Amino acid sequence: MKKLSIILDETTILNFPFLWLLIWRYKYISLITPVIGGVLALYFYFSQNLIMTVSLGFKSVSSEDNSPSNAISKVLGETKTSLSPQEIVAMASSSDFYNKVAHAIVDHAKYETLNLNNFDAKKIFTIEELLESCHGDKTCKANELGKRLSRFISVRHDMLVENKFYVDVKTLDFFTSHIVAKIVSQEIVNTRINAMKRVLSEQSLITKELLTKKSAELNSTNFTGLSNELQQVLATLQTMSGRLASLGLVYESKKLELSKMDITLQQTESTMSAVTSDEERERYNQEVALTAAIRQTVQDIHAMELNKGALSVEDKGILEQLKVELKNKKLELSRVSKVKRSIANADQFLEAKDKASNFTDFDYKVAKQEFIKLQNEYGLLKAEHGRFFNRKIEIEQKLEELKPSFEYLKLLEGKQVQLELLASTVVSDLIFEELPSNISHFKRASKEKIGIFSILLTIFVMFGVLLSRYAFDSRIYNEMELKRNFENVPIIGNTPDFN
Amino acid sequence: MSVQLMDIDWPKYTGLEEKSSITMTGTAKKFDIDADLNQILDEIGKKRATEEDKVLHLKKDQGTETKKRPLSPYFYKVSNHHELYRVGASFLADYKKGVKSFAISSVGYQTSQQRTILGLASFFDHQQELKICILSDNLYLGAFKEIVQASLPREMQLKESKTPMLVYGFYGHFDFIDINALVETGCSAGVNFREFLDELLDQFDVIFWDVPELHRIQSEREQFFPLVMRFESLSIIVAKGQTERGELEEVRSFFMGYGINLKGLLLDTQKTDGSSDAPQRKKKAWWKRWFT
Repeated sequence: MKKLSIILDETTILNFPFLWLLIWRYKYISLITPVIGGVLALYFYFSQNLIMTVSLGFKSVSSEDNSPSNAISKVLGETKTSLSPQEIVAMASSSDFYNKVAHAIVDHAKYETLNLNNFDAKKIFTIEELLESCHGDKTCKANELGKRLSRFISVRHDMLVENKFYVDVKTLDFFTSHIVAKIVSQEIVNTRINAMKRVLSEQSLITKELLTKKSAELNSTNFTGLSNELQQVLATLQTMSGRLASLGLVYESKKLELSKMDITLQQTESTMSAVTSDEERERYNQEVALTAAIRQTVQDIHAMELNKGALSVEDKGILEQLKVELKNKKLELSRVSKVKRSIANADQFLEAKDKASNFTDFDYKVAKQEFIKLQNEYGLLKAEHGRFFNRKIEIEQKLEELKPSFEYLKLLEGKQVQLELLASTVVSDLIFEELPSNISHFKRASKEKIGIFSILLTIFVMFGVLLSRYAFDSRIYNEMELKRNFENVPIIGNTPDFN
Repeated sequence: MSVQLMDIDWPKYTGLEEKSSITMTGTAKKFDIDADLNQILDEIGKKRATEEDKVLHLKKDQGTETKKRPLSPYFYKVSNHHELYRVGASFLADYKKGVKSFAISSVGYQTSQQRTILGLASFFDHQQELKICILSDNLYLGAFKEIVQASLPREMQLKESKTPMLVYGFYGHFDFIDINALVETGCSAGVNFREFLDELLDQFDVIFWDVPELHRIQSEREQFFPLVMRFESLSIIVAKGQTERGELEEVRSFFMGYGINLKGLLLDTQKTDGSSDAPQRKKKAWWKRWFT
């Protein structure tokens, strides 16, 4: 505890002056530790293998408008989300993916020339030597290789360009890096297409199941039967409407004709039954006579008035008399009631009508019979039409109730078509560049990294060894330690020294 | 035991090239050499004297007369002079309080012990005119080697022993006694080691013990226990970056178990190199060093 209390400091945590003192006290440790650290750092740096890196860029176009699958999806109303960068990176870092790549590598023509030794391998083995435990079994080789691939392959997201990614393949051989990068790019594309197809096929399967289910539901409600019946009813109604319209026209014309004939018949009968009295005949003659007398009087008056100046008193008396006479005659005419014009020819008229009345009555009776028959037929047709019309309304109501289910079914059918279309036209939305973006070689740990790490580690180890040494060191180095160890013993001073 | 004075490189110790031609053989010319050395050291003192040196004039107990002593060159060879002064002052204060016997121990860093003792002895020598004795089991190795080689051996006859003790006197500044010889003499037949030791130590004002390694003391308790019991103050050297807490605790516990006063700890900041001919501490296996 005493030693620990010296090492620690209240303000700086570590007592740095004391640590500096320890460096000087244990000079050999202070010198040897950095030398060993430096030698080890140099050895570590120069014993590292050169790692060849090939970076193959690719772009995710899933969210862009020019993606064929996206365009079709949009047309069909599909809302499709693009792959996130994390999904892309994760896709290429799964064991399943590595296994697929491993199988592709094993099947590759240049398989035997590949160098897939570890980065820190001291001795380089051929791939067959590395996988000799499999005794030539391809599946075993692929499995074993799949376990090793994670250290060679990585996918990273470009920090500057959106949707841009890189496949980095690091091996001890440039040729191997290049081949593996190509295989990885192909497998990424295949994996993506398979994933997209799988999603679509699963969606299609689910849609098909829903379609079957909904179809069965609609069949149980006799939706098709009702639809067919509606079609038939509509066709019947259309036919009946045509017939009803034409029959109506005939009916109306017949009805008008019958009415006309009825009136003719009535007038004929009325005329035939009518009787002209003698009084009427006398009044007629009186009227005619008065009218003629009035006309003569008026002419006389006009003639006398034309020579009014030359008239004698007598003549004037006559004129006045004529005027009075005219007035009286007009009054008399007004008293005589008017009689029918036909009175004059009544006998002739009655004779003619008597001859035609027989034909009119017969025609009327025939027409009436026809009309009654037509009326019955029209009535029956109208009733039938009404019945079909009611049935149509009834069916339409039922179909209206089933319409949502039907619409849903139609949507499902549309979706099914869309999915089938998508599945047949799916392409990868990850597009790889033809040439590598970057070809470089490096050592796993750079000079700077090893330098800094070794310096820090050396300092840490040096102080660790110094402190351990100090902890186990019971020697006394200065007056302070002497006082601390022998508190009650006075310290006289230093021994004399001679030149 | 004899010292080949012929081999001593005097100019190296005196710093005076012109005196490099001094040669001596045996004990016959002892006094002449002393005179010459005093002269040389006096010149050194004059040359290197500082304001502090000017104060370092010993006062005689009886009077106010001051005498300028020849200074030990080792006091000025100390690179951390200020530190020595501070440490030495602490020891000197103890001495003034009555402590006479100072033991310097460590966990196997003999060179550090020797350098410390040499430095403290030089300081005491500078401060007061004292008879300083340094007892060590490695007189002929490490920091003591050159000085002992430059010292003049003399025999000290004590009442308690039949055979005289060989003492190396460094020109009146320090006397060196080999602990191994001391133990051998003290443990010889007919010698009361404790009394012999008391008699010997009474000859000096200040005694610095270059304490042998702990395992040796533990393995030869019979011989070393009387010595250990003469320690009045114990200082343990802690070698920076080498001494382990457990080992230090072991040394401390051992001596404190005998009731010896632990004066304190001295920190040796010098890096020992393999070029030294001082007894090298046996290194533990690397994994033991790492995990203990």
